[in-house]
Amino acid sequence: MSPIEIAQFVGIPVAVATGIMLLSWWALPSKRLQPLGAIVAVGVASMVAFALQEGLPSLPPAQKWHWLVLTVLAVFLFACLYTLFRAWDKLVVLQALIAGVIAAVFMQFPGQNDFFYRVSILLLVLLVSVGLRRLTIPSWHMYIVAWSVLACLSILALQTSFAKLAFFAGAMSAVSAAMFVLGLLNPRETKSVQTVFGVLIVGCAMCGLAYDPSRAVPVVSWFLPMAGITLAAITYFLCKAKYKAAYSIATLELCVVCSLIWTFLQVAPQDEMWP
Amino acid sequence: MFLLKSLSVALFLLFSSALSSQGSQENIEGAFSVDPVHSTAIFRAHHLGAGMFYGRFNDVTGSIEIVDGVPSFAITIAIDSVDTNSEKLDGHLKSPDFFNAVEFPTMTFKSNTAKNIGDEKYEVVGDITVHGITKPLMVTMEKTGQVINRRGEMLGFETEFTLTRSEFGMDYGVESGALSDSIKVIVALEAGRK
Repeated sequence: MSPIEIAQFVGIPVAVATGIMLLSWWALPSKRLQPLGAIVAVGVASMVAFALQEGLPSLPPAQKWHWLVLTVLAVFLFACLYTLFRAWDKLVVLQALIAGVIAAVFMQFPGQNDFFYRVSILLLVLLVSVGLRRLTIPSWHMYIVAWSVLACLSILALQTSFAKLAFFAGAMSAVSAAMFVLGLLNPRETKSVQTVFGVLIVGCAMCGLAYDPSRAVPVVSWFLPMAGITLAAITYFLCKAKYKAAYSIATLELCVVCSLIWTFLQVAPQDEMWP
Repeated sequence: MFLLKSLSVALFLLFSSALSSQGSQENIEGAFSVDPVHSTAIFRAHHLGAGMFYGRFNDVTGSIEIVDGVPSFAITIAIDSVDTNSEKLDGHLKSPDFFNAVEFPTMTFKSNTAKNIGDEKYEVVGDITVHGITKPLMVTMEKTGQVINRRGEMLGFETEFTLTRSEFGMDYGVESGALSDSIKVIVALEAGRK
């Protein structure tokens, strides 16, 4: 990966997300509409990150992995709509469930079309989204989690030699990092953005798994970071300590590190991506 | 003794000539199966604007049919058989960055028309399908030989052509100049009577 490629594939989505967030600080002052800023920033950045790799996806997509970005687009639009209805604010599980159904219908990765995979995708989006939602106090907490998990998935994708997915997940990880910094500078309401991150995380993991028939990355490594989100949420919920946010992040990082160690124990890390 | 020796030599010569009568058949006709062991597809790309990088596909199958002295081809190449002498490179070429072997496990060429242009060469027009995208392709196929031996009737063809991989949706590394867009391909076929 050359510095120019990193600047192009990672820097541009980060700049787009940052620009949208800064604009939303000015354009969306009311607490009611604040979450839209983060949703639009993450949603548009993911479209840009994908378009930089593969261009705009056609319908139906030329390759099945393009369904990943179309699924994110569908959930992004759903999250925007959902945010507009105040009465639905408390229905976190329902929102995650609908996002899970959208993901289960839209994601069309090779070898994952049977009922088992559809239900698995639905349950994973449900668990990850609800888990992320529980980690939105303080608001930057969720962004750290998304940052770590997407970075881990990017490394795993690189291990399978799927550089475009690695760049995509890496770009979204960097976007999460930028959102974290912006969240520290100006804490904003973040509800609903967790569904977009949830679908991004589950989508990247399932996509990487689908295109790794030789199992260069162990199956468990793809699922450990997602399990980490749920465990982090449980830790946060159960822990009464002052530093429960730190404990929950430590729980997640433990899962992420275990995923990477498990992978590297099986195969030597790629010292250089070809070509 | 002398008679026995003479008889042995005569039998040997007779047996040998029956087993191999190379180059004597001018017009082999009919259907032939491509022999995957003795057929190959080699590709060449310009790497980082520096060296020429070669790879090959080891699993080339299909059929050749000769009707009125004009050949037609239906060739299939298994993407999973790509061999660059490096597992990492093979894995990357099979990934969705390039061939996407999970979704598109083969590339194919099926000829539609062919005409003899002399000197054992044929101008063959057909459809090539790579990465799920089909495009017309015209190649010059050279007949490298034909023989009748103990394996039966056999013949061989070879062609060399250039593909622009971005036209087939494989644009990874084109913009950065990591790997050339233009790929030189050599396909050598050996086929035996079906």
